Amino acid sequence: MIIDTRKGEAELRAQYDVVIVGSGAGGAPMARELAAAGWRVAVVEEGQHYEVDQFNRDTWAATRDMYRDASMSATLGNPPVPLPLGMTLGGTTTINSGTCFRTPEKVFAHWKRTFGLTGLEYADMQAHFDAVEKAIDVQDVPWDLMGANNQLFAEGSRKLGYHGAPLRRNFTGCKGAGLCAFGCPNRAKQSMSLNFIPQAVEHGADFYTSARVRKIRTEKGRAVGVEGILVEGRGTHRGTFRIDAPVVIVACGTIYSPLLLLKNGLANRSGQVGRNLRIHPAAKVIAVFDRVIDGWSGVPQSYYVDEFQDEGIMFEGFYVPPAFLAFALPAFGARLKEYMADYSRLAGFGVMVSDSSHGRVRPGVGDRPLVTYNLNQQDTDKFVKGIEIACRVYFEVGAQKLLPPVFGIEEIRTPAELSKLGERRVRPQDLEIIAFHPMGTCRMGDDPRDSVVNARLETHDVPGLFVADGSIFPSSLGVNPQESIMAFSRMAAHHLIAHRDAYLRGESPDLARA
Amino acid sequence: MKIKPLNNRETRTLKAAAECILPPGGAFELGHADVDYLGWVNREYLPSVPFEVRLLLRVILFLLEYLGWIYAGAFGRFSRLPLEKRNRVFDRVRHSSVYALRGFHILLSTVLLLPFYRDERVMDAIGYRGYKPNANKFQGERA
Repeated sequence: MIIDTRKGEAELRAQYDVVIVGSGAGGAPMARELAAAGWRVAVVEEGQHYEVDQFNRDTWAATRDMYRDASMSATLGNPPVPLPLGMTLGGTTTINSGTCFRTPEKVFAHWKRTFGLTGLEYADMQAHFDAVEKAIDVQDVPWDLMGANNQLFAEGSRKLGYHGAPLRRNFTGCKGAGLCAFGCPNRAKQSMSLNFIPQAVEHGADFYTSARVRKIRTEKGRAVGVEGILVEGRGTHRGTFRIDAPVVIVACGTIYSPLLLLKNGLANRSGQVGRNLRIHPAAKVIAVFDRVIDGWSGVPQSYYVDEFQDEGIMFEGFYVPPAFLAFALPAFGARLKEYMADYSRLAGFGVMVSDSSHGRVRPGVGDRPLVTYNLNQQDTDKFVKGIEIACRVYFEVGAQKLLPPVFGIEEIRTPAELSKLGERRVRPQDLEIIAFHPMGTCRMGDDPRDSVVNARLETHDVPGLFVADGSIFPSSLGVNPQESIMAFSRMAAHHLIAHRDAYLRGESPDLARA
Repeated sequence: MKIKPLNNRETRTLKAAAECILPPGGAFELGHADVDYLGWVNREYLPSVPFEVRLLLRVILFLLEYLGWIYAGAFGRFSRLPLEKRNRVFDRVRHSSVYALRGFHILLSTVLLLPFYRDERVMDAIGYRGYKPNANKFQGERA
């Protein structure tokens, strides 16, 4: 069942076969698979549970309630990068764009070549991708649901000969409300709270909401449970809890999983916990047309162009309601009002870079992380190229002017003016970027000296302690990671199921072999 | 946890900034006086964002009072400068090569633009025809 701890006792103590920290793309599939196999499963979630009919169509209110820190999380560095993270039952899947990609085959090859990751074959993962896609109803976005914003970019890129396609997303009966990032009001986007979580509950799993794990308990070097605080509202401490279990899965995401391990001094013999942060930085290009686009209409992220994927550049649709677009425009006062008065004539597309830059997560003040990240010049150059390409695509379909996210260039009115982008070297701090896909801070690998978890996601150092979220990926995926996170989590769950007796006895067969 | 609302001095600075960032007239009539941005900042924004963002906003409001000296050639506090000079301060800050200053402008703009452009009358004025039912009403259980 789903247990709102705010309505229960101030002291909670329980025992299960497995305790999972986090209910997002990593935690929910794990809970479902293990519960279906008969494990007694507890999931601890810091956020609150909102039913779909409680989702708020006031986008600020939805942001306040379902994003960590009301979406004001950011990395420190050059430049600072906003990094929105979900914090609600279902995690970021509740408020993400819903885009689904399998981990590209070349990424597996890269991991094997660069990180010596063996025992994890692309072919072996396909069954997990198949199962995940079936469970969350992954399908192409139909053309008529895309809305003019995505259709325009598709048309422009086709004219230029670039390869693109409708994005695959997890949805059932989408009506194109355009509110994916604020909680789908039509139960269409198949976030975790609509599939894996209810299925896990059906199989007996318990989800404790408004509960923040602070301590991973160990005995004789083995994980044996978690402790933490029950929170009321925005972090007010109202009680404590302790859950004992011979298997502990940390699935709090790429920022908070390493934070939890670092604060507990666990699984960091390699010194890699919190390092190698990748974020898939993204920039938006806004176009102004002389006709109504109504960019809000349809699925905001429904088309992609991967012509330049080998160079680490992807293009994906985006659009946001007025309150979130206004401060992304290059003007203020009367001039900004002019842009916003043209809101219905604006279009927007995102440029996403598979980053070679990296950052780090460290413990910050209180329960908070300190996240640092510096964009390097190589990735900056990729952005400049991507922004220029996006501008050309828009000019191809008749854009009147472009608003690139580059300091010093407010408008580009003709293709000839694109030369402005090359007139001086654009520096990292000249870009306005945002990021949605943190990865890499508890990276997977065979060698305990330079990785945190093995190919079955168990930490090298602490038997019985697993990590199952985006933090395990050793490098940028180059594509949206939610499906990969779910599939890897499912893979690890099946490993646990196959060795159930050993794990419940407090043994870790893989680590014993190593 | 009780969060302190903006004090009188901070309120004065924010109002002076709002007159620049949300001027009435122009492309559409509505402006700063039509939306309770101050109430939103005190009741919604400050209690929702992390401590460091609250602190940063307060630091920005403090520093802004003195930026007129550097950016508008005017030896008065920002909140006492004529509108034209305040606009000049923002224009210079926005075009500064120092990222931190541009970042200050973005944060200050955010706390004014968010409440303004989520107002249904403003949404109507700019021709937004997307979802806006129940704006200003919270349907779930307050955090």
